[in-house]
Amino acid sequence: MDRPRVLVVDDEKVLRELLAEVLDSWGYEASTAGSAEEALEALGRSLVDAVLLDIMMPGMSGIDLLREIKHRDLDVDVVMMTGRPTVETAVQALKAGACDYLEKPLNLEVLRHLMGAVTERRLLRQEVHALRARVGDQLGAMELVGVSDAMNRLRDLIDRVAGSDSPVLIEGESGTGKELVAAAIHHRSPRGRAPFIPVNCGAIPAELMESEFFGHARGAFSGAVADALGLIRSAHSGTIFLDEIAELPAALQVKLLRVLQDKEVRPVGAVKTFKVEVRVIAATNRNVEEVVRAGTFRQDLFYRLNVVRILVPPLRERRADIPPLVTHFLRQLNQKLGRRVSGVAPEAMAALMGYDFPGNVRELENLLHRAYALGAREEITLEDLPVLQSRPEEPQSAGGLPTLAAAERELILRVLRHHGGDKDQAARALGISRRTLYRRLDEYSVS
Amino acid sequence: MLQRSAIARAHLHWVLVVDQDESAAGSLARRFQERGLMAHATASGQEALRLASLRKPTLAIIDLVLTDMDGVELARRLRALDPELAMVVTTGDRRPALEVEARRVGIVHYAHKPLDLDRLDAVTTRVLHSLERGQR
Repeated sequence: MDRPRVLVVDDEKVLRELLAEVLDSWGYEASTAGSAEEALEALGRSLVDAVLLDIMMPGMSGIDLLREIKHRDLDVDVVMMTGRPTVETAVQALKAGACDYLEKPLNLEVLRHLMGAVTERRLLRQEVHALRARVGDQLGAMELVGVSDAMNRLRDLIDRVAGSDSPVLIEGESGTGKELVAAAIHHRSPRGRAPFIPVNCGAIPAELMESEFFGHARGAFSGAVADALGLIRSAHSGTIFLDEIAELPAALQVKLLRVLQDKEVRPVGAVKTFKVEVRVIAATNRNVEEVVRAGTFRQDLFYRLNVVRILVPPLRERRADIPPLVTHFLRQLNQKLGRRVSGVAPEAMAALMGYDFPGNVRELENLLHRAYALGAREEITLEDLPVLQSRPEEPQSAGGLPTLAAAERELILRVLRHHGGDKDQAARALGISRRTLYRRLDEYSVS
Repeated sequence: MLQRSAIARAHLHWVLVVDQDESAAGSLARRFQERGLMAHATASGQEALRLASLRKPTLAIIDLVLTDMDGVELARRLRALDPELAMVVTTGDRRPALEVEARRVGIVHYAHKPLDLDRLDAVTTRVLHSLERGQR
């Protein structure tokens, strides 16, 4: 099993080094920080499983640091230590999210036991998470990650809207997580246990729309060999999430409006109608007012859906969320791919913070996923994020002279040929690492 | 009918067909191949997951009954691999509760067997079309 990573934060150098040594001997991978600032820096650089944190420190207090840590990464377990225990500080610490509390001077047996328990709980949590994902409660298991004001407002809004049962219209660029927001509303609502049926309106062919949405009776058309419920009746007593609502053809808009008004559907080819009780959450990455003005979207349907409106801001407008999202995805990818990437190098993080993310959170996830595929090990470096390396497109050569890149390519290929294709020897001769050589060859599409 | 452009892009797109009935899966896959698309058929959910993790499929046709797992389970796992994958669930079972379970995953079409191949073609055309418009 991997060694759990623990960060020890204490302003007393002797104590933190002793603790690190002891933890190390117990099979943990310990690192240390002497102040709140150092601790935050360390946490920003790499993932840890647990933090052992002194409550009394000069500068930022232990409790404030605890809050800050939990704010950035809810998944880290924090154990507080204090020399002067009072009930109030203990309560305060637990309220702020500490998972336990130790008195100084520390009893090492107690500490050992406690760390064991923390690690075990952690493993259990991961298993539960994996299980949940397996049984398909994936969206329910995903939290909305982020520490920005915009994200906090969004979470507040979701909580307020969840109980109201009114239709919701979600606006946001693609990749911002509109489906996550819709699922969060559903799971927090009284309908939480009933079905959540996501529909991408842009993906269903026009000729199938009516029967996919409203179902069909057996024999309604040549392929209708059995009664089918359709999307809306499948969502009965739950929530239907209509993504890309602006893609809905006009004919279907009328029918959907009728369903919302009458709360009943008539399947294709059926004589009778069926009562349905469904909450509708719609989403679009376009400006709905414009689509309505252009005449491609019915105003009456728009009014029906636009009871509560939620705007999910693009990632570039909430850059403070990038570090916690990175942490979140690294944890997920480590678990999914069985790897142990511990963090992102400072220059790579700076590049991520400076990038515009036209594809938003999904693009960030894809970038990190690609970095794993490119072989990122301990740390994700700028080299693992090729998209962020501002490399001008194939520069033109001037006056018949080759560009530096072209010369480099020519040299590398020549040395490789000289060594009969032996990459180890070629790398040594070029004075570059094997990894760099592979990367270059990859760029030139030579294997 | 599929669009001509589908043929030109055959090397980029592929269809995953999963069904316990291997010959049914095979003949459906061949139908896609005849229309110029790459397609793989398998009866195993594990094999389907392996194939899909090697390269993202464009479309997955999944029967509710597979040799080693339930079709909805496979659909969920494929969804976890690719949140935007277009999936069709097929079944010979007419129980409505199964349809609800399948639709919870987020699918584009739920089809009873014997399959209406015209409808399947419409789904395929739509998927390729929206990819071309860069909608996904």
